Amino acid sequence: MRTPNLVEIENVGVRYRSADLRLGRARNDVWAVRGVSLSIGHAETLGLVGESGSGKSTIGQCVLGNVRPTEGTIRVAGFDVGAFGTRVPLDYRWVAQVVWQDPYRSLTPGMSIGTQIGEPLARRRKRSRAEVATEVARLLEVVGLEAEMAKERPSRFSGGQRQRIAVARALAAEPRLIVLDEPVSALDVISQAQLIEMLEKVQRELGVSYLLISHDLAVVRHMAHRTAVMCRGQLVESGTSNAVAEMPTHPYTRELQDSVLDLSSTEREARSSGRAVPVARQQAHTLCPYLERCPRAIGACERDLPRLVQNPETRHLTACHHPLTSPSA
Amino acid sequence: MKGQAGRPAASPRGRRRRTRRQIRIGAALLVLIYVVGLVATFTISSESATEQSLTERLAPPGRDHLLGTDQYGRDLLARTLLAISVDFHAVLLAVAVAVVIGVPLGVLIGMGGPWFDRVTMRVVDAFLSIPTLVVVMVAVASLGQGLVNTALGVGFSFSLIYARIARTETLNIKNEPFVMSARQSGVGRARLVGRHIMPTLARPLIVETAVILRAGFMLQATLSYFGLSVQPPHPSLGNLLRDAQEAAVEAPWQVLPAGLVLVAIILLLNLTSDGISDLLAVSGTPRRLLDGARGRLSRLPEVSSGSRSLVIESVTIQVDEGAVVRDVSIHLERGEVVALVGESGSGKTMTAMSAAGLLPPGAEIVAGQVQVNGHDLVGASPGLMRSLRSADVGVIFQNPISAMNPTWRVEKHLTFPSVVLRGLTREQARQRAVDLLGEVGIADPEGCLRKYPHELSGGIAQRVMIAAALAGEPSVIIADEPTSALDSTVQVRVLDLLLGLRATRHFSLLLITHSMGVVAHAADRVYVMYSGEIVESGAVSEVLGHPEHPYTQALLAAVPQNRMRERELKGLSGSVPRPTRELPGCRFAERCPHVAAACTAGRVPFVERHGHASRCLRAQLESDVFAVEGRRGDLP
Repeated sequence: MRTPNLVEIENVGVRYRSADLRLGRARNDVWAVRGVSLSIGHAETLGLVGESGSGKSTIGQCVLGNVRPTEGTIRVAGFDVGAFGTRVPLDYRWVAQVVWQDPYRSLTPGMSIGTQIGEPLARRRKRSRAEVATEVARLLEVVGLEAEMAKERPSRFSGGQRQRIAVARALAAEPRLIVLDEPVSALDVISQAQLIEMLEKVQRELGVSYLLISHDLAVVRHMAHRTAVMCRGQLVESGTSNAVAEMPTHPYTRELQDSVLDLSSTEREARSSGRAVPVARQQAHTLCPYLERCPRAIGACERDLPRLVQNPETRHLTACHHPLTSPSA
Repeated sequence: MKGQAGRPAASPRGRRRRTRRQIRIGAALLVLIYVVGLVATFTISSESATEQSLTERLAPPGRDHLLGTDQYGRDLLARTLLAISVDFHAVLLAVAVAVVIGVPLGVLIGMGGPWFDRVTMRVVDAFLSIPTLVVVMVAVASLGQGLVNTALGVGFSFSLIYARIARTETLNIKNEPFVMSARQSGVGRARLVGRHIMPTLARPLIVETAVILRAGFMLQATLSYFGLSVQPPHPSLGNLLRDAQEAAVEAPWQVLPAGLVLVAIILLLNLTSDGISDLLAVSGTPRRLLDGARGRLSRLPEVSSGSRSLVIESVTIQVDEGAVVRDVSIHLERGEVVALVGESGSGKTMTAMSAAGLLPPGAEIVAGQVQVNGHDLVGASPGLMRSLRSADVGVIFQNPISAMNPTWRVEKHLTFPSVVLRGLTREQARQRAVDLLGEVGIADPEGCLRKYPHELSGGIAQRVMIAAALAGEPSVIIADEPTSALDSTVQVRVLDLLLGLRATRHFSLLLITHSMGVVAHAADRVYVMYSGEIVESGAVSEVLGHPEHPYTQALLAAVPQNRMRERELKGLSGSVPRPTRELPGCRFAERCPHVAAACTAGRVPFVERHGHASRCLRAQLESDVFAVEGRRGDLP
């Protein structure tokens, strides 16, 4: 059955309970994510942007089935991911895969990369050693490495190469979706560009979907078809990447946009006071998550939570009582 | 570290080599002792060592008995030699039992849920609190006396130590991305533990094993001394010591053979295990940060150094495998912001850390000069080095939280140097810390002082780090990727803060980064490094506007331009050649789109023209053409 979307996330909330197991202690529960709805189409890249603590990685973990949402539903390719128990069914591992941020910690140190890439292959279908080896060689070529490298251990490779190996291992499971959790933020620009090119090529050829989690708006804009912006556990804006980047309507998106240091940012005037903004730990999710920092806050912002509504002009969704308008208007 | 002031600072590389030699020698001698013992069991009959001969009681060393005889007339040499392998076998058996029981047990506990962990660890702790000797008594009481039974008892007791370590390490690594990825690949539990987790445990367990072996030999000697392990008349080191004690009044020398062998084994184990833990120990940034803060210092006298606060000249840095920084020259004018850009592995951090005297173990400056405010750093005495490091050069690391001592509150990080180095009272130092935190834009300095590093967010921690670097009022601040671990919004604020402080405090800033955006935003001048060499340098507007070296051009083309989606990212193919590799000509040649025969023929000179310099033959040729034509234009 082919549904229009590969991933459907509806009204998901995740509450973390404090790990205090002693009796008689008050629990200190925190909603990491509240009321988030997203979808990812087939062969589509959805960019999920936000600062650390925005809950973007929690969404990634939910989609992988590693974190069970406290409320809401997650459906991926017919699996009711939100209803998984503590163990993710093996079949689902062949649907969703992941590439982590830190290339230096995401491969097992003492094991040859060929063995690591081959693990899902051997597990998924009974295959002979020779078949696995051929497949590993093919995958290494897909990600732009040489087949002979299969025998080497991870320590031989640079950060960029290790991320390619991680992608090859993810692809070995023949997944429909790969969660990319800050895949390039630990890499230098050249390796970044190489990896992004490779990931785009893989998507074109294999039709895999990506959930791209990143704090770097420039990278997301480059790779993602659509972009969703999260702020302290809530979705504040979403739409096509071009629309979100060119006409941000939420003041938070604008701040993210302005903080991208590209080559044109030679102007030296300090754009902010340089004062650190405190991050409140407790979030009630009854008001706009950006309220404390927002330069455009109005009376309504102090009273109730803005809902996501479609902006008639830019056609993307924004949760803001006092949205920005396009420069032309 | 003591007494080295006279000769050049001990090279860390040499220290590493000596450590390896120390391990090799220790281990080889231990094996030698064991082999001698083993050979003895095959060549000396056990009768000759156990048969009593009352006529030859306590004979002094002589022709028949090289070491003399004991009070029962038994040959002491034969008994000592035979004792060696007995003790070795007992200890090895005990440790083997401990590893076989303890490691899987620990991994099992670590892999279980939190409740399972709590319950089983309490049981393990309860057993651990029973002294080994008591455990052995119980083993002997229920299984009977003898070497194997006592070894089992010792092994069981030691296994709990292994279980504790294995459990802690398993808890640490079971949430590492590589274990999560393996799980995501559908790897089953057994394989996950056997292939991914257990091999990673080897390192901490090896260090611990060396310590346990030492304890094992002592314990084995004690046990047989008390007659619990090897039964007389069979020889063991403990038995020999007891016999010697009985005859101590008549023949005190009897204690020597067994005693010396035991001492030798323990000392050699110490030598080896110290070497191993030195070699495997990770270099701790926090400790290095505080290195500068030992002993009270006065500010160094001013030496005229012209307008330059930092000069790195023709520096070459070597590690075991070869040169990682090749003939690099960099300078900072007073109050200037200079960026050092390059991919990971280009040697940029190594170059900058040479100016702070913070090269990692194994790296060494073999040529060139480093001067801070006119003081030579290469070959400086440790005392001078400390003064320079604490007062003249401030360092900001990429990951601020791990660069702080986790057991110290922010207050101690900020006040400790002023109390110790500047002789301020605690009150003065505290006030200064509050001022500094205010200066770096922390809204609640008093509250921040009370926090531990792990309680700080990344942005706040980086501000604390900056405050700590400012505390010494340095004239040079080296910032190693100060913002790359931060969110982009925080990144801009921290950069702007640094630039603002530079304007008020007039330090010069060496900014190590891989981001061209950071360079464009913050720096006055830029050096581009590739594979251990500087390939281009000049004013930021010059280098970014008219890059001469094809590598700089590639770096700029790879920046994902936020406002230009249509522009394609142009990643270079291949990767940086290791700086240690010797290459005849241009180090970028194998990736260069314009490579020509001349490029690989010989070393390419670094040529400067109007303050903009590059190491590229093609660029030099083109600029000659421009010089002739007298104008700039587009070449094909």
